[in-house]
Amino acid sequence: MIARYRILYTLDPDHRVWQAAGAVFERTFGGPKMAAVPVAGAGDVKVNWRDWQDIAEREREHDFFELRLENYDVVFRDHADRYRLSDEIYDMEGESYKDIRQRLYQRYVLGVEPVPPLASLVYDRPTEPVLEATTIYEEPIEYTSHEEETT
Amino acid sequence: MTFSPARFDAEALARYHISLQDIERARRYVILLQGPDSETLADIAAGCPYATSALLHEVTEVRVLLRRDPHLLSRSRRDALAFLQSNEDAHLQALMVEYPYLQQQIAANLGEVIGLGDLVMANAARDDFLRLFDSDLSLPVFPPTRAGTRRARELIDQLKQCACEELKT
Repeated sequence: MIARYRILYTLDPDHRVWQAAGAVFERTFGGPKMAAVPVAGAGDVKVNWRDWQDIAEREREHDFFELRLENYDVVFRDHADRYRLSDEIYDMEGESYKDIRQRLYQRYVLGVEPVPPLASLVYDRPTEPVLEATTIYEEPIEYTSHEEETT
Repeated sequence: MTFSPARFDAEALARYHISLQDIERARRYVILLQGPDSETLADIAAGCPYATSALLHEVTEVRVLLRRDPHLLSRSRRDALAFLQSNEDAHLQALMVEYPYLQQQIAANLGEVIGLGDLVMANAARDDFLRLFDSDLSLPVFPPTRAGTRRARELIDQLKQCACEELKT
């Protein structure tokens, strides 16, 4: 099976680069409906508990199946200066959703296959509904996407 | 901040063979990862039965991790974080102990059965729900609903007000 996903980046405050730290992927839960769910590091959530408490609070504002891959940015809106999702949507193949989650965890949380950090520090603060909000942290740099294999 | 064993559910401590040393290690582990102002630390220090569920989580997790790295509690926060990331199953085992206990305590003390999915969403987040959903837990885990999660949140808040002597098991 194949699942669609976006990469979760966190800003490394020391080096001012966005580094891959997880993913958000789409899957079913025993029924036909799809829901987007994050694959986050257990340690990251524990250490940065204040951020993740706010993120969880935003998740709770939505019905479970309401959040999709395309609009999952809204849960990070309070901390968009530190957490963001890739604009690109990728595919991951696995034997099951559990297997796909494991692969995403290995690749993006544990960094078994290093993912180049994002060069750009420009981001759009996610809003709900669409509102004007763009915060520029540094001089805009043209966005360069890394090469991510799609399977 | 210290954890007094008298403030926890004695039956749960006995069931999981939790010693004073386990409690102290859990306290040091939470401080190492989350700092002395951690909300988890305050929740545990506040006393049972909610505190016991949080304690069960931390004791279970740190037990697994210490079996693999006996010097974990002497490591830096960054190293401990990395170690937990690469030993994610410790966190899963902790969830599998914490949530059935929390569910059971809500049923026993507040007379309401709440779904595990709603409970996890109310107390943690989607990534933990996903871990539990994909786990080998012998109890059913269903996707949460907004109403169910809201109700679970209310029940957790009520449970936090229960004192140890009121515990029903």
